[in-house]
Amino acid sequence: MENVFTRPIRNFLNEAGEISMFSWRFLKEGFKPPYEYGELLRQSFEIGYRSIPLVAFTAFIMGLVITIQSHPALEVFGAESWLPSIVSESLVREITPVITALICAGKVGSSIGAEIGSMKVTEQIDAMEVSGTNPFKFLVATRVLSTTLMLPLLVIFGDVVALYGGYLGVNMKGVTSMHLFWTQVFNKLTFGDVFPSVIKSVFFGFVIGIIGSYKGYTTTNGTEGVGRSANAAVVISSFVIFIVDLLAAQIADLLHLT
Amino acid sequence: MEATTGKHIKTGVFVIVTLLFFIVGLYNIGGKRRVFESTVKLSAIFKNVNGLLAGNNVRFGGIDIGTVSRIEIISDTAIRAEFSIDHKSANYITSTSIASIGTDGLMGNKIVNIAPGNREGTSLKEGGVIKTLPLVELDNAMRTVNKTNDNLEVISEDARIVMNRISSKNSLWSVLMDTSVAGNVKQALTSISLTANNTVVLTKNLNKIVGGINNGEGSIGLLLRDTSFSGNLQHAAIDIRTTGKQLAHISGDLSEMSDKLVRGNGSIKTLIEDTNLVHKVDQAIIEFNSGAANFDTSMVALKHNFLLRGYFRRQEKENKSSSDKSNK
Repeated sequence: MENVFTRPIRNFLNEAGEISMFSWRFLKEGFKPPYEYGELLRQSFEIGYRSIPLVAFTAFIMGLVITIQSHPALEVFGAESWLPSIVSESLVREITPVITALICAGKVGSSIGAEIGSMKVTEQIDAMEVSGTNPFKFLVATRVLSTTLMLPLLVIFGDVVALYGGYLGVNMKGVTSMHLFWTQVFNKLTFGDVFPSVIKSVFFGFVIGIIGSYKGYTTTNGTEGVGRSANAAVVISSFVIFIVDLLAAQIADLLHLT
Repeated sequence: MEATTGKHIKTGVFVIVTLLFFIVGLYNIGGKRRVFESTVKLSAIFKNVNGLLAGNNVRFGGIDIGTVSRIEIISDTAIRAEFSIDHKSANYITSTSIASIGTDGLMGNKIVNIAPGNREGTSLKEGGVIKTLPLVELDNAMRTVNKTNDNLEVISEDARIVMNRISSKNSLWSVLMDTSVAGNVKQALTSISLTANNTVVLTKNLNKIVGGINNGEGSIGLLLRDTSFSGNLQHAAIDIRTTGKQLAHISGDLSEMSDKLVRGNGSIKTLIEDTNLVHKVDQAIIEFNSGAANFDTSMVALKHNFLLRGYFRRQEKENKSSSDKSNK
């Protein structure tokens, strides 16, 4: 009876502690030379560049859908002209960062978990250690750095595409020029909207990279474990992304950036 | 190696393009907030800022020219709002300009509206204080709107009653809806027009007459304008009066005479009252005519008498000669 209730909590706390230690290790070893630039660039290409189509498509759909959904509510008040400013604020502050992070958690987090996990179960990581290569720096640090750097860029790219989708959405129900749309967008947006969004997406990227790497790096039980690690990487990353988002919103509010 | 380089280039392009988007976005946002422009700090003191926040827009003539940079309480009845105003736009804010706090739309953010002052004002410099206008609070505005609504309700009710009366039978509306009225009105208007024309002609004639009268033409003109006429009229009246008196006197005499005729025993009474006298007179005239015929016969006989024939011939000659003289 005691195990049924305490085991999940104990496992959760144990995992949280291990991830924290893993993150600490990244911070301690990740920024020390020698630097793996080649692997960093390769991972940036895989994580950033290869995610562009998926992120762009998702962001475009989100921009379009949010605009179309918001239109009737604003139409009731005769405030359709507010659509660009309201949609842009929603997209830039919340929707694009979170959706992009979740997409990347699904695509990138799972691939990191599976890739490192399969290397772990096939003892390639042990082989790297034997050969004198630091597997943590080569495999983990490069991936975590790549996700941390690439996710904000993907979010900015997603913002642009989502706003363009919003522009098309606005023009589906009325006529608004591109110039007027972007003028209204930039009239509404402030640094307080953009910087928290970019900063939290840095943390989202870090979360995706560190959790994917951790789950892969701690994979056990062969190929079955690889699948579990990939799945767990996605689930835990998505969960932590929402927690980080909540914390970011609270901090932004405390700093009067809302 | 080439494949790796290609990947690096693609990654680099992605990073650069995305960063360019980010920088352009930040520049636009900063441009709207005048982060990259030189600004002038001006301020205004309000009794109530009604939720105005740092970062709210400042407008001059409806154009965003700056933002609220700071709000601070300086006393229990005064709150100082400091504005960062675009350097170029600040030149138009003078010592007579007036700042007021409003709302961007019905539900929008608070904004500071600066109304232009008159030409007598001087441009405010760094640290200048703009005059303020008391805040128009939404509650007060809504109260006014509520009162207006009440009045509108009363007015609309009255209007409804009036409209019902107008649209009811035997009302003005029924007259207006009667199609024959238009024809009648048209005809009446034609008649009025003709009457007006006649009136014009009549007026002209009257003017002519009045002009003639004023000039003393005609009997009435003479009557009104001839100053000697009244004197003559007076004399005539006196003469009429005198004549009247005389007539009265004569009528008195006639009355007396008629009395005498009726009551007296004179020959005239006999002539008037004696009916046989007429026959006698007739008989006398007949006899006189008969006598005259006999006398003519006697005279003819005398003309043929040898004793008197010469006398008559001489007389004929004299008469003839006197008539010839007169003809010549």
